[in-house]
Amino acid sequence: MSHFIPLAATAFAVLASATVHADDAVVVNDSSTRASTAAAINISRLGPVVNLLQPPSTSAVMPSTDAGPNPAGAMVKGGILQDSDTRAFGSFGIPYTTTRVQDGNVSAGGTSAANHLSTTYPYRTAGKLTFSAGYCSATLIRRGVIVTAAHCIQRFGSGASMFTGFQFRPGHYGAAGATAAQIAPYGTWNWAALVRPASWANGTDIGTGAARDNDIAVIALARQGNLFAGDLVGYLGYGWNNYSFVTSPKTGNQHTGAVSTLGYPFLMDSGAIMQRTDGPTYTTTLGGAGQLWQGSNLTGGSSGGGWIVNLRSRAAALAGGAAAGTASNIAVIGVTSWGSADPNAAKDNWASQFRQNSRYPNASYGVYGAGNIASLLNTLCATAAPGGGTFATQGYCN
Amino acid sequence: MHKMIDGLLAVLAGGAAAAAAALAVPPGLETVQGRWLLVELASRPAHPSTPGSVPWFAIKRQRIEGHDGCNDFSGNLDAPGSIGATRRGCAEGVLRLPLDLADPLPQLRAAKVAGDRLVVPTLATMPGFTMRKVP
Repeated sequence: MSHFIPLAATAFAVLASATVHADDAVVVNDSSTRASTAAAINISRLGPVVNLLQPPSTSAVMPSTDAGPNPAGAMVKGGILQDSDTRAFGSFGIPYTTTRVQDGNVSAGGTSAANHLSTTYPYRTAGKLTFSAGYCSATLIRRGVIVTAAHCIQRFGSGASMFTGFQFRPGHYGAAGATAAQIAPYGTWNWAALVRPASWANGTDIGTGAARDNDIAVIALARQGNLFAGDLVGYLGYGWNNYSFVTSPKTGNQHTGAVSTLGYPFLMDSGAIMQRTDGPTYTTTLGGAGQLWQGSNLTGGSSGGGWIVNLRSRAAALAGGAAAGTASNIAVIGVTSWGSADPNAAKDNWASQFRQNSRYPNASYGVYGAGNIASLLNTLCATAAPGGGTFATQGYCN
Repeated sequence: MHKMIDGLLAVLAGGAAAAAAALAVPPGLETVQGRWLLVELASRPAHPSTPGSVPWFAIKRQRIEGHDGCNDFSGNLDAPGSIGATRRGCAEGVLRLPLDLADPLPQLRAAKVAGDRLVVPTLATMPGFTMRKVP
């Protein structure tokens, strides 16, 4: 059975909910409704339409080529761009698509900021996490809490020795020439507290090699005055135990989900621009460790980035009896953990799955749900916070 | 499909440690067995910028694991492309292990052991380096 913790009530989170979008659809200008109805009636009386006009000549029309890099297959002035990445699927044949989280070509009016898309919800809930040993990716899952990989906190089995200086920049864009406002469009947030699995710190977490059951950690971001990072950018819900996955003969009896992965891989745009990979994703176990598996070319720097089901900006207003179906909420269900050391070999990435397992067997950790992710949040939120009370009572965990 | 995937997964992740341990040492790797710490890179002493981030690797039969100065890795030496690694982004100027993790075998087979040192010569684009054997 799969489960989900919904988006909580921040302004931005509410904007993303399907319920509110349904309400939006009901609020219709009466005059436009009448006009639409009249048009529909007229159209219903018409037969096939023959356009007597000749189509315009398009021989002189060429696509814009001044909008920066185009993806392979795009038609440009010189013809169709050839694929520079000849292996658009994992070594085991799992297809994927990767794209910059960046608007496409500039509009006819030339109005597009390079970092516009990555500053919109839900992308802006993701960002770059920097620390003493480099950087990772992370996602806000509570008002003042991000989730990332445990190996972004410390090396496996390194005890009390952790990296230092954790800072999170949601919606980060750092390409050459980026302004301060683009580098940290919603500010820079210092860490206030963190929780990583004890089994990660002491090196007993189940698994083999880089594949571990609980390569997951949560970090509370210090509020700035009364403001939390999630107040600015919103945050995502999270799911566990195969939330939004299905298994049937049609999926080869494999638990399969449609998953989008966000992160800042260094070998793509030097890690300066958020990237998104979409593709079918499977559950499996390696050395006993519960893993999610996706074809991907996101390399070093993508660690800790969210694996997200139902990632979308706006839900369509449904009509005619159409329904969204079950398990249709945006939810983080894992974070990037590891992949092939050779960026040109196995194009697959792996995540520790949010789930109940032998280390985190409980079906309920307070109000935070079940399994590893809920336990980590429960521990963090129950921790005494500077200034009195706990992180929960101070509002970090709303 | 299950069987195929399970088999391939075992290769990618290096397989179960127990299974790997039962396999023989690949030819040419008898002398490089053990745990090694980077001490010299391109004829200069290796100094990591971050304490605790000294690159190292350990080879047991055909299985290798270690830390490249930025990410942790593990896998099998007999299957090029099979070594997996964590996905941290690396700090600028970090001391990196110049071992081609896509296929480390050529470098390791060219290496010479002298006392407690493992001297790996320059090969292709990879600079030479020296490791010290540690317990």
